[in-house]
Amino acid sequence: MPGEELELIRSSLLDFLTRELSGREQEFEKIGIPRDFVEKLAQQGFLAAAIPTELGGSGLDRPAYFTILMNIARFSGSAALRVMLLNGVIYRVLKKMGKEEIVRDIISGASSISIDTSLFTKFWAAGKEKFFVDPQAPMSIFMLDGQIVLARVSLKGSREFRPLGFRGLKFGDPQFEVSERVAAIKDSGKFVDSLMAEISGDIAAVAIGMSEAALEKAMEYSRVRKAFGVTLSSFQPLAFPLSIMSVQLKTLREFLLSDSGRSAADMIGIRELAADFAVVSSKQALQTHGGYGYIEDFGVEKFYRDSLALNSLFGEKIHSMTLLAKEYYGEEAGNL
Amino acid sequence: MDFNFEEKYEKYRATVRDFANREFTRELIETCDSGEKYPEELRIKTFNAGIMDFTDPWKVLIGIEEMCSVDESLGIAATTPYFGAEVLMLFGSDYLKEKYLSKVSQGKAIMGLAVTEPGGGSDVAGLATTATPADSGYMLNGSKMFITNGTIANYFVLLARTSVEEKKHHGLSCFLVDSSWEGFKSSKIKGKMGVRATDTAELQFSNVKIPKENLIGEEGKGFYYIMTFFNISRIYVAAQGLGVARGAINRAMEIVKAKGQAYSSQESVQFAISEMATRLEAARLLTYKAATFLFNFNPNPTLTSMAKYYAAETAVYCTEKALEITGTDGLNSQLERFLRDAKILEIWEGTSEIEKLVVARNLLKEGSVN
Repeated sequence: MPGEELELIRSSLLDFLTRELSGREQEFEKIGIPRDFVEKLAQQGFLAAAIPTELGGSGLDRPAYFTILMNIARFSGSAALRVMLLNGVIYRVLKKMGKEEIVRDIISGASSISIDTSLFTKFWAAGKEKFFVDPQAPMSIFMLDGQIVLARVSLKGSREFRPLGFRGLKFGDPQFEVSERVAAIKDSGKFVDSLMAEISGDIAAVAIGMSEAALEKAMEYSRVRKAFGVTLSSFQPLAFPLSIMSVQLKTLREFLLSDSGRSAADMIGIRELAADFAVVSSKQALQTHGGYGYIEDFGVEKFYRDSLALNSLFGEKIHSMTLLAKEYYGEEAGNL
Repeated sequence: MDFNFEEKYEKYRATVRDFANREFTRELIETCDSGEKYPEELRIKTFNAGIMDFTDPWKVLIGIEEMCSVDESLGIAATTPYFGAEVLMLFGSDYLKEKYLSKVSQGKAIMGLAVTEPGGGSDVAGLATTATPADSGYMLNGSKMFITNGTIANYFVLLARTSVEEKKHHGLSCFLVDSSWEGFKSSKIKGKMGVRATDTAELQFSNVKIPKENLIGEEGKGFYYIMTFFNISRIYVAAQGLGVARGAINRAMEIVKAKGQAYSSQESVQFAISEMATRLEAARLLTYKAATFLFNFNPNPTLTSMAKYYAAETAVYCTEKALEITGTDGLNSQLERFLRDAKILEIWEGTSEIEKLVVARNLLKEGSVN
């Protein structure tokens, strides 16, 4: 997509987010992402950004889709993850099952699908509760006997969790009966490996967007907040890391957005770098704010929580690192 | 050199560990965390069980470490009713000790320390709350921020400006302030990321009359009294960090084992466990060394600041690493709370940045390191 078109998408998205989300970030975190916001996202073409137009999506290319994820994540990691789960996970699973038509109902809001996060987990702890996103949904993508199953479900109950991050989404351990088994992926291990590689750029985009917002807040605060008679920006322990992180951020963003010809290895690599960077940069932003950074109303600590959750939600680190090593070595590597 | 505690301390450690494992129930932890509720009943139980023995600083340290290894938030809530009392013990008059400290010692009252101000933070000497001379005492005006025990404490050791003539830190004095006095107002701060069982508040003072006998020590010496207090409290914050780090490592290892041998034998997982445990051991040795100097009445501020920031950073490092190696299982476990609780350790009682400046400035003054 030409630069001007990308800039047009970015500016219209920012207008939309400023109008519909800015100032409501805490509300999103506390009560969940409002349905009307998701509907408006869909109407504007941002919700199903990367889904083909014939299925009701916007059919945008990766740089445009990543730009959307990044900018939504600057305001709300939860809202960005909602978009990413639809485009990156749900659509890809449905497509693999040959059931991509169902995505129309999800985009229109007529239906919804819960996702079992153990789908990404190679090593599941014995006896642990399941950890689903949107546990109340009438359809579900879940793991059963080593297969990824799509089913219509009848909900019997659900224990809700207050998660570390992305609190605007709902997480829980649903108890349901399968009322209709729609489809399944038998060789789930191989599919999950390819899915992990495919959504790496999506995860990186969310991480970069959160890092941008956290660093901006820290820079802004350090310019106005005074201690010992001078602004915080005068102190090397704050100004130096924030400055070098701004360069790191720019590098990550430019690498991701110019990705059209990049390999799977590059994308997995940038996921790891961006996700780690989100933790480091948001932690620095929190520290810069001192005690105020520790209070939810200041809107800084959520970036730290969200970035840590982002690192854990999509499988163990060793899983993506093993995929990365395999890509670079061209054979199994780092598997001990 | 002997790295072992006397038997009485090992017994004490086991007693506190049993108590915390028994009384810090999952239900209590979750209720206090989600509802931001101070566990008053737990405070009373802790007092009645004689768990916190404030006559022996090693017991205090060990008690904090053990309780925080089970849950930092409840651990701190149960061990801070005395917060700030050291200032009174070291510098207060017999009258103040008799009138106020005795009630705290009997578990009938709670104390707090009121130093930090809105917009103040690390710049203690820049505080703006004033205590101006008035009829037979002082008139207090101003506000304090992020005050532990702010809405539940009966008495506060408070730092206020008594002179604008002197150099900034020379014009500060400490007072014992009763929260029931007219003009005293406290508002609970809600929405903390972690340590949500602890009570944190903003305090406001509007023409609060302080009797002159409630001045602690000498007028104009308040800054030094508070710095002396920080040399004590920072050791205890380091102990909080040791507990959090240990609790996180143990919980992470439980989950790693539950994931099976195929996972626990992964080298990068094993490296993470090794690095966490090594950092904890280093932080513990540093903290115990700094504590040994302090408890032998020979405080070493350099070591104290090293211990405080290193133990705090170790707690954050271990909780982050623990989540990293446990993935979604860790997210859906007590580890997420350990992480939220840990971060405050790098901020309160002197940020890591302030501690590093203390260390470097002392070392440069001394000219060499041992």
